[in-house]
Amino acid sequence: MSLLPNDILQQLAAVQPKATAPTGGAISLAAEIAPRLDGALAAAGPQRAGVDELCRQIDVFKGLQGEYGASWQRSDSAAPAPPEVAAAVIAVLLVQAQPAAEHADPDGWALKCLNSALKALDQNAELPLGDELRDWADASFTAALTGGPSA
Amino acid sequence: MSRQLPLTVLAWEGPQARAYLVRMRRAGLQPQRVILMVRDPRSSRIGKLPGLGGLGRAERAQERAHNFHPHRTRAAMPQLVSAISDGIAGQLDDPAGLIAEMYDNFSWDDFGVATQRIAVSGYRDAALAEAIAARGPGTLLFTGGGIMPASILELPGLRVIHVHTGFLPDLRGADVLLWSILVRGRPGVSAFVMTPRLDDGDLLGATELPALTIKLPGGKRPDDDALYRSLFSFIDPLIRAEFLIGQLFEPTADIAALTATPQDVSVGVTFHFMHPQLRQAALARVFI
Repeated sequence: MSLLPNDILQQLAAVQPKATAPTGGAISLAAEIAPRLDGALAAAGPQRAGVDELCRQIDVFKGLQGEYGASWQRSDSAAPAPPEVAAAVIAVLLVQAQPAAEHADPDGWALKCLNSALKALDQNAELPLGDELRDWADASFTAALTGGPSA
Repeated sequence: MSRQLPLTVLAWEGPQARAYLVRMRRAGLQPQRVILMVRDPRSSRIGKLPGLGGLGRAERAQERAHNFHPHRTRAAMPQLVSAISDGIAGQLDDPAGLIAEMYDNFSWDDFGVATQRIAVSGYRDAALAEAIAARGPGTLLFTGGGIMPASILELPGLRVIHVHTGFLPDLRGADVLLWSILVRGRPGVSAFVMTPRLDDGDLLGATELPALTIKLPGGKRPDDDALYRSLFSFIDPLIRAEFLIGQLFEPTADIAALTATPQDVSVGVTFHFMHPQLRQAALARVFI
């Protein structure tokens, strides 16, 4: 793999936009994802709250928005998530997918996250560290499902 | 002699509804009522088609469209269908015969009850809720094809049953037959009472099945699209039908008295449709 996951996370963290949580219950994806990115590899255990919703946005609605209404309500007028934020989401999902690569995924949560990461890569043509994220995803897939070595 | 079940089959044309009815007939069971939803893909309402002939034409067009893949697979890849029958023969009695009944000379009126055809634009069509409500409380069998709205689910005294090819509460959502293969190494199946939310209703039963492997005939391996469609044309519908009718309905004197147990909705994972890479891996484990 071209870059180690920790390097990918650090480089993506450095390019995240400064974002504050909007008012009125609205959700800024950048504000939501930045804390998850920071130290994601150090986080113990699955981070299902919130990550589940990211998977739903990718899988059901086929794309991430920069902002959402309360309870992740989508808006027709909302702009797509900036590429650096989408890349950060993918990186967080790939961290969550790591147990699958290590064959330690008893309930399929990690595979679910890998599934969403692969879809998000397909949905976003131009991403910072896009090739590196793809390499990471492919390595995780190979390790998880073909018995090869993990990333 | 057939035993009539206090059950309405809400039939969305396609493999799932056909499998349920064919398996019921094999078990000597017949539903109290069959409602066949007829939708004209060219317009939002059948009413736009002139005269009663419009409904018949729409029904025939729907039959062709909704069963296109099973018909084509049986015609173009009969050896694949034979391999599937052989692969599931250990779990079902005469799968080849069941498949033939589902797709050869099938008629909605051959199940001991006059089928009611309803012209609808979909599950949210008010005409559908009216037709269901007209018969009062009872048990309805959902056969797929859309999202069941709360307007039907919350009709007084109505219990809508759905069969899901995943072991609940552990696997919810879409493509769960394939997710079960990847996560658990074998398929699962669950019957539950539907709620407006996803796969969280009270369970009538759930089980895991033996590992599923279909030994493909020699020659060129069918592509993943063909394999995926064959899974949902033949295997998935028969798994559901066998569980519901063979395991739950047939042994029960009164299906209305079947008890449903609340799920632990705090556990389990909700899955989504598989990315082609994961789908390929899952199909490779089934079709060897």
